Amino acid sequence: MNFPVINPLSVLPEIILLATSIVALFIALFLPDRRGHQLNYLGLVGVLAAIAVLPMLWAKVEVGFGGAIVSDHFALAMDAAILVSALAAFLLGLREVEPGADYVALVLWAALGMMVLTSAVELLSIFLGLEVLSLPLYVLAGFRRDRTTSKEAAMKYLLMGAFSSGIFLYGLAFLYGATGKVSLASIQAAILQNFTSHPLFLEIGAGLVAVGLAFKLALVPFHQWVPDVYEGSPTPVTAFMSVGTKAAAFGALVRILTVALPAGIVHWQPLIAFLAVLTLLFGNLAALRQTNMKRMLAYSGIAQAGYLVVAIAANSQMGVGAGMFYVVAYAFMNIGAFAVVAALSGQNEEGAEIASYRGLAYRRPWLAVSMTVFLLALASIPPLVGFPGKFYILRAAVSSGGVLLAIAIVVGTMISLYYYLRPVLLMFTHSEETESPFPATAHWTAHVTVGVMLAGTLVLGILPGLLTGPLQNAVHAIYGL
Amino acid sequence: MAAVIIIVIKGLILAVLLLTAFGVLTLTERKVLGRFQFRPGPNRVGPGGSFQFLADGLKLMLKEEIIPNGADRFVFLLAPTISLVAALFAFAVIPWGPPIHLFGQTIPMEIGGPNVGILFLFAITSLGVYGLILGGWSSQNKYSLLGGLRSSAQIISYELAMGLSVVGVLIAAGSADLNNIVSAQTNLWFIVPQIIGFLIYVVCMVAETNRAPFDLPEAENELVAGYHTEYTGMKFAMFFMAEYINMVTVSSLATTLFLGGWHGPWLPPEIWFIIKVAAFMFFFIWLRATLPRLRYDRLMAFGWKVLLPVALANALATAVWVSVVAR
Amino acid sequence: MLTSYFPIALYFLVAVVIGVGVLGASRVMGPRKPNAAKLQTYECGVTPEGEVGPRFSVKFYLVAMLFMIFDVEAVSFYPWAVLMHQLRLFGLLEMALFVLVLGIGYAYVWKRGGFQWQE
Repeated sequence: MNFPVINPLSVLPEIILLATSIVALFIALFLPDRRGHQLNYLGLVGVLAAIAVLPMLWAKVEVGFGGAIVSDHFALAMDAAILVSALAAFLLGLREVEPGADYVALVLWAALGMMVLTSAVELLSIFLGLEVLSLPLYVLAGFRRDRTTSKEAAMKYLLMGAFSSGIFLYGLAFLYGATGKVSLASIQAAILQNFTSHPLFLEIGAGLVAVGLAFKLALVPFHQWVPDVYEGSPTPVTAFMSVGTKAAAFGALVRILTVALPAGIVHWQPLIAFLAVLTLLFGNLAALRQTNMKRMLAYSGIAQAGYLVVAIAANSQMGVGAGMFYVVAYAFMNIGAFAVVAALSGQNEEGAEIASYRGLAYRRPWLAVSMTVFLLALASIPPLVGFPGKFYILRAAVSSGGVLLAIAIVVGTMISLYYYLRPVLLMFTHSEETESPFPATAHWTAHVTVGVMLAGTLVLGILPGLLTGPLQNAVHAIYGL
Repeated sequence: MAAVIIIVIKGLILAVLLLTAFGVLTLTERKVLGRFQFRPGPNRVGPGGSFQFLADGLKLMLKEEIIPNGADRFVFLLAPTISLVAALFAFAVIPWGPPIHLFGQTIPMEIGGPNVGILFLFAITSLGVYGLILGGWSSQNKYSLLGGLRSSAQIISYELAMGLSVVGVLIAAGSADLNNIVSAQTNLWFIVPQIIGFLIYVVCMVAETNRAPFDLPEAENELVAGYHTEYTGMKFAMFFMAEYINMVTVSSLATTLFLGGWHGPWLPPEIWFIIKVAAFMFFFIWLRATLPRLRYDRLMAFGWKVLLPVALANALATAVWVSVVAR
Repeated sequence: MLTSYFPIALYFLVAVVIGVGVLGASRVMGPRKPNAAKLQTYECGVTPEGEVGPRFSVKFYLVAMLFMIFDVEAVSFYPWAVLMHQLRLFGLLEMALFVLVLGIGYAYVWKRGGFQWQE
């Protein structure tokens, strides 16, 4: 009998993560509970090892599991963003979540699922990736069982997540029903050669898939869970899932929509464009009213997802490249911002109020300056990484004729200036209070995270060419399928 | 059309046989238990009490149907039906003899033989759990609810080890079709190479049917009668039937998987099959007469911490034997 | 392939007819004289007390979840077991890896008290 070729190289980073998680669980059997947090360093090592093999895999496209998994440049680039966010989950986790083997394993599994999602080119593997990424995140959101908000976050996330998984799966079923194929390449071939059972099935399938992933991407109107979940989850988890999930869902959306379902035949483009505009406007407007830093960042995350989806709506190679750049940019600036929030929160505080950032620049200049940089980058002020990111998206939108989309981006960005700049002003306003609401010191790992993210934000902002070259390859990789 | 008629006739015969087996078993159990306890057992109705089960059946049939206040009527009636139907249905795939030739037709001695027979059988027997839990839930009685929950937890816990205990047999036979498994035992019954699997299966089989010493769901002294406290008349009898038919089914499966099915010298194969199943039935009664009831936490711990890993190890050891040592 | 299920489906109908028939027969044959005391739920002869839907131990949920996980694993053994003669060493190694992962998960659950019925 014939067995599909597995080719472990195609999932090498995934294997490393899985092995690390198993070792962590195994060690936990013999480790006393009070030393459980040391496993966090093991998780860190595992993620670093996975990052280290990415350049080695870059040289060649590996196809595995009988063509279900492809480790191409696109997958590897997304993997990099995902792994960086997993790194943040471990670096920031030491203080707030009292990590043990379960935390380490759950983060690794979620990252594993995200990576499978970006490299899967077959419907069942895609769904597998989505589930493997979702289930650990539900638990992680409620990891601080002693906090009501954390439990609430987990419950909301679980319900909405389960719902969206169902919708997504339903969409996949329609795609399969329309074409009789599970591999994305054969679906595309079937559509191009007009071998579909009913054109409407394709439209419904594309719509349901888009909506299912829109939940994960936090697009309006499927965003309601986001603020509560981002606020209630422990900050390291929020940093991880806000970036990792977006990268993974973006990857899946690109692979399914722009590659497998040619927009000329399946009309998903208006839907995505509509969602993008709605998300941009609503996310930015709602962020204006927030008084809590994590909540503000949550709404800003919704808006950022809107920019990201504009890149998909452009439906061009340029758009995909711009989206990928934006994912990486978003990873640096957003994780950086959450890292500062985490560095400023102690064991038991639940997300800081923006008002308490008043005068931070005089007490904790390093963190205040970093936060300023991250917020300005999110507001896409040059020369920070947000600027080229948004510029590429804008260019992609305009060049594919999406003038309305471009206008929405500009309007959204202008609105966002207000809420990104307000905390900056506050931080540099002298405060009479001598009593700081924040703990006096942060764990050194938090400072390392802030430093790394700061470096990324600055370097890629000034020299975006470092990234655009490789990303060009990545775009060719997925369109070459 | 002839095929359909044959199937229906076979099905009716099987169902009648199973229900008769239930009647005979209740009588046998009471008689045998009586002997164990130095008393004669039922001896008034018919010669030596042998019509007792008919009298019992008639009496239950003529009893009033009571549906307690506040009970969910539909579910309350559904629960015993699920139990009985699942019990009757599960037997469909068990071959109780070699195919026979009658009127120019070859008639297999089972209702149907899908290639995943064993999986099918486990799937259907586990449907019986719904009967218990729905019965316990719909009765609006605390004890029934607890009894139903307990029995569900117990049954699903032992189902794991049961499922894993037969993996060795599947490896040895190279098929999940029960007919193939039987024919693979022409020379050697699987009880010899798979003795560990057999022992695990037997323990699980007793637990699956909620029989002593695993009859906690029906622990009279703490739960009144468990999930069927509120059931009267024939609805109660349906649970009762389901339990005994399940005993027959799991015993038949044990026979099929480990004792060579209908294989045996001299006597007709069907007789051999019945003898082997009857031996298991006696074993059930013997256990009930001999062993006291287990404590609940020990029961669960035994299933999860002992049977499950041992069954897993047995499966792996068989695989190693087949792929490394034996070749 | 599906034809082997046809007799089974037919027999299912027979089983359902018998199940429903037994239920119906007793309804027809039994008397019907309900009264308030008869319809009360049975609590050893005294008047029922307290809430009817009591809270029950969260352990039952835990058992259900663990069952879900391990039962799926157990079922995944079946196709492997059936094909063991053909898979040989390859199959053995694959399953060894699978059991390793499963086993560590099992040991972890055990250590965290997942199988402990009483605290």
